[in-house]
Amino acid sequence: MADASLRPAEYLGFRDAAAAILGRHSGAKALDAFGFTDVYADGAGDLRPAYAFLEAQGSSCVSTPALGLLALAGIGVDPLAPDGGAPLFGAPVGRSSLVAVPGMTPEDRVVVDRPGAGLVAIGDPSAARRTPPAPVADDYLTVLDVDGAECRVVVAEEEAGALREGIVVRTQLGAAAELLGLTDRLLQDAAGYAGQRAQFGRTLSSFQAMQHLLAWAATERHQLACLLDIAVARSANGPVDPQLARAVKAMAGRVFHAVAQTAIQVTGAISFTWEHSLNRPHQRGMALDQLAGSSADLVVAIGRQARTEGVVPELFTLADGAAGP
Amino acid sequence: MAARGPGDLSQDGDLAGFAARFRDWLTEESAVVAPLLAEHSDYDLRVDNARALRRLLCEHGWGLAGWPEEAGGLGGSILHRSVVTEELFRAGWSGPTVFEHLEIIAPTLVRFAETEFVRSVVPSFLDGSRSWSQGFSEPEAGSDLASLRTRAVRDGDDFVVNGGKIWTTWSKWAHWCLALVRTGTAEERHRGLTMIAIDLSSPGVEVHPIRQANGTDELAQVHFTDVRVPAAQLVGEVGGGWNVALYLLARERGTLSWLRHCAFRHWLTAGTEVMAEDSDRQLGAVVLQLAGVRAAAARLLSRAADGAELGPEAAFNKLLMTRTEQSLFDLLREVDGVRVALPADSPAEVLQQQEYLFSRIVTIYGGSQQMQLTTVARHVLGLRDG
Ligand SMILES: Cc1cc2nc3c(=O)[nH]c(=O)nc-3n(C[C@H](O)[C@H](O)[C@H](O)COP(=O)(O)OP(=O)(O)OC[C@H]3O[C@@H](n4cnc5c(N)ncnc54)[C@H](O)[C@@H]3O)c2cc1C
Repeated sequence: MADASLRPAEYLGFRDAAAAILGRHSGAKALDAFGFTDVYADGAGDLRPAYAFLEAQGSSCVSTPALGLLALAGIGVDPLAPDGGAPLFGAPVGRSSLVAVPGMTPEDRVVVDRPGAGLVAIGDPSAARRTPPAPVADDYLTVLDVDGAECRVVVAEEEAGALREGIVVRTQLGAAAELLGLTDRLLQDAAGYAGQRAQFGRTLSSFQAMQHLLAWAATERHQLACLLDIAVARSANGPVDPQLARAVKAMAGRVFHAVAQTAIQVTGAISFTWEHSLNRPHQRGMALDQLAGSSADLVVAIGRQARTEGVVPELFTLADGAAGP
Repeated sequence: MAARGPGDLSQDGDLAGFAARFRDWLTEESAVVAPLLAEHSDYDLRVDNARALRRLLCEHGWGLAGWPEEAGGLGGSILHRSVVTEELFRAGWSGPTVFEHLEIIAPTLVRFAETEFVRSVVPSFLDGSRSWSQGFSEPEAGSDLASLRTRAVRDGDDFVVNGGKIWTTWSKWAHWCLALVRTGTAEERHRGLTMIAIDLSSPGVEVHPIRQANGTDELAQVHFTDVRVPAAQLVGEVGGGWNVALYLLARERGTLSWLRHCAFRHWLTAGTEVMAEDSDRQLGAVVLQLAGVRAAAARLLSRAADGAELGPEAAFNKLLMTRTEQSLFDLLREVDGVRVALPADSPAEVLQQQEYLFSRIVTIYGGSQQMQLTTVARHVLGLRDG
C-alpha cells in the first residue's frame, strides 16, 4: 500500500526485511534467516519484529510456525520443552475442543491451554489431527481435536493464570498482523487486476463503481493498519491492554472479510477458481479469523462489555505517544 | 508543589502530565465549567456557551495551548488542543460548535495569512469573542467547487467582491468569512481561485440563515454586493486559493475527526443505557468503528504535530468518521425509535433528534462521500480514468 510514510518506519523496516526472506524461504528456515526466536530470547521485551514478520508472512502467504511460537514467546523453553526445541501453541478455535496450530510439521510439539488444568503438551499431535477428506486450498493451519488426546501438564493452573492474558494478546495481535498482510495482498492484487483488464474498451479501474469499491476497501484497511500500529507500538513498552488486542483482532477479521469480498467482486468469475491466486489467501484469512476469538464472537463480547459497563473503551490515549510514525 | 496551568508545551514535553493538570483544573473549577458543558437544544445558547467556554479556557491558558505565539498562543501542538478537547468531553461536554471551526479555519490562517493579519484576528478567534465561517460552496458549485463564480476584482488596495455563498455554517454568529473567490477566468478552473478573509460587518454583506431539516439554523446563505476587502486580508497568494482550500479541507476531513469522535463516544455511551442484549452485536460493531476513527485520527494528529502535509489520506478519516456517525445513529434509532422519530418530550430528546437528522447529511459536508472515495481511488490507490 502507498502509505509507507504514514506507518512507523522501524516496523516497516522489519516487515520489508521479512518479506525479502519469505520470498526465498518458508518454514523454520525463514524463521532462522530472520532470527525470529532471537526477538524474544531475553524475555518477551520488544516483539515488534515478530509482528512485522507475521504481516509480511500474510502478504506473501508463506507458511511458517511463527504465530505458534509467538504465542509462547518469553515464557521460557523449560518447562515447556525440557528436551530442546520450542513447542508451538495450539490456539483455540470456536467454543469446542479444537485448536489450530500454525505452520505445524510432523516433528513439532504442541502446547495448548486447558483452563482448569493449565498449559498442557499434547502427547502425539499427529494422532489428534483432523484429516480432511478432500484436498485443502491452504494447509497453513493444522486443526487438532484435543479432547481425549493424551496430555501432560507443563505449566500448572496456578502459574498458567498469570501467563494466559499474554498468550491471548500475542496470538490476537500476531493473527491480526497476518490478516493485515493478507488484506494488503488481496487489495493490491485486485487493484492491479482492475488496472489491467479491459471491458467496454476501458480498464475496469476507470469505472467509478470499481474505484469506489476499491477505495472503501482501502479505507477499511487503513483503519486496521492505524489501530494495529498503535497496539504494536504499545507492545514495545510493556503489556498490551487485552481490550485493545481484542479490538485489533476483531477489526482485522471484519476488515479482511470486507476486503476479500471486494477483491472477488472486482476480479470477477476467474476469482472463483481453485487455482486463482486469490483463493489461498482468502481461505487462509477465513481460518485465521477463527483463531483466539473470531471477529463475530469478539464483536458481541465487545458490545456486551460496553453495554453492561456503560463504557465505550478508549483503548489508547494520545498521551501514550503511541500514535506516531 | 505540583505545576499548575498548561506548563511545558514543548514537543517532547509530557502530554500525559498536561492532560492530568487540565483534568485537575476542570475538577477544581467544576462550578464554573459544568454549566458551560451542559446540553442544550437551543442553538443560540450552545454557541453562547461555547464562546464563554473558550474565554474561560483562554483566561487560564488551556485554550492557548497548542497555538503558536503569533496567534496569541503559548506554543505546543495540535496534540495539546486535542487533549483539551477530549478531556472536555470526558467531563460531559457534547456541544463543541465554534470549537470545530477553530480547528479548521484557525490553522489555515496561521499557515497562509500575513503575520500581521494573524496577530490581529486569531487571538479573538481563540478566546471566542469573534468567530469565523467558511465560504466555499455556491448554489451552482457544490461538489464541482472549482466552478465557483463569486468574483473578486482588484481595485487599488482592495478587492471588490460580488456573488454569493451557500451552506456557510455558523455565519449567523460569525464575524468573518474565509471565502474562496474567483480572481482569474472561469476557464482557469481551480487555478483562478483566491482565498480572502471578508469582514461580515462590511457594507454589502447580507447573511440569511437557513432553517434546516432538523430545525436548527446553523447554515446560511451569504450575499456579497460590491464588498470592499483590503488586500492585506488575502490568505495565501492571488491564484493560490485552491491550495489553501485543500489545506483547510484536510483539517475538516481529517484532524477534525478527533473532536467529532469524542462527541460520538459521548452519544454512544449515553445510548448504552437503553440497550438490551440483542443489540450487543451491533453495538460492538459501532464500538469497533469508533476505534478505527480514533486510531486514524490519532495518526493524522501526530503527523500534523510533526508539521507533515496531510494530503489525500485525510479522505480516509472523513469516510470513517461519517460512516461511524451514521451507524451510531442508526443504532440509536433502532434501539429507541420513538425517541428519535416522534415529537419530542424534552430538550434532551430534541437534541437527539437534531443530531440524528444531522447524521444523515454528514456524508455531504466537506466534500461528499463519493468525492472522498474518488480521492482515495485516484490519489492514494493511483487508479486512473480511461
Ligand atoms: C451540514 C453541512 C455543512 C456545510 N458547511 C459548509 C460550509 O461551512 N461552507 C461551505 O462552503 N460549504 C458547506 N457545506 C456545503 C458542502 O460542501 C456541499 O454540500 C458539498 O460540497 C456537496 O455539494 P452539493 O450539496 O451541491 O451536492 P452536489 O454536488 O450536487 O452532489 C449531490 C450528489 O451527487 C453526487 N455527485 C456529485 N458529483 C459526482 C461525481 N462526479 N461522481 C459521483 N457522484 C457525484 C454527490 O456525491 C452527492 O451525493 C455544508 C454542507 C452541509 C450538508
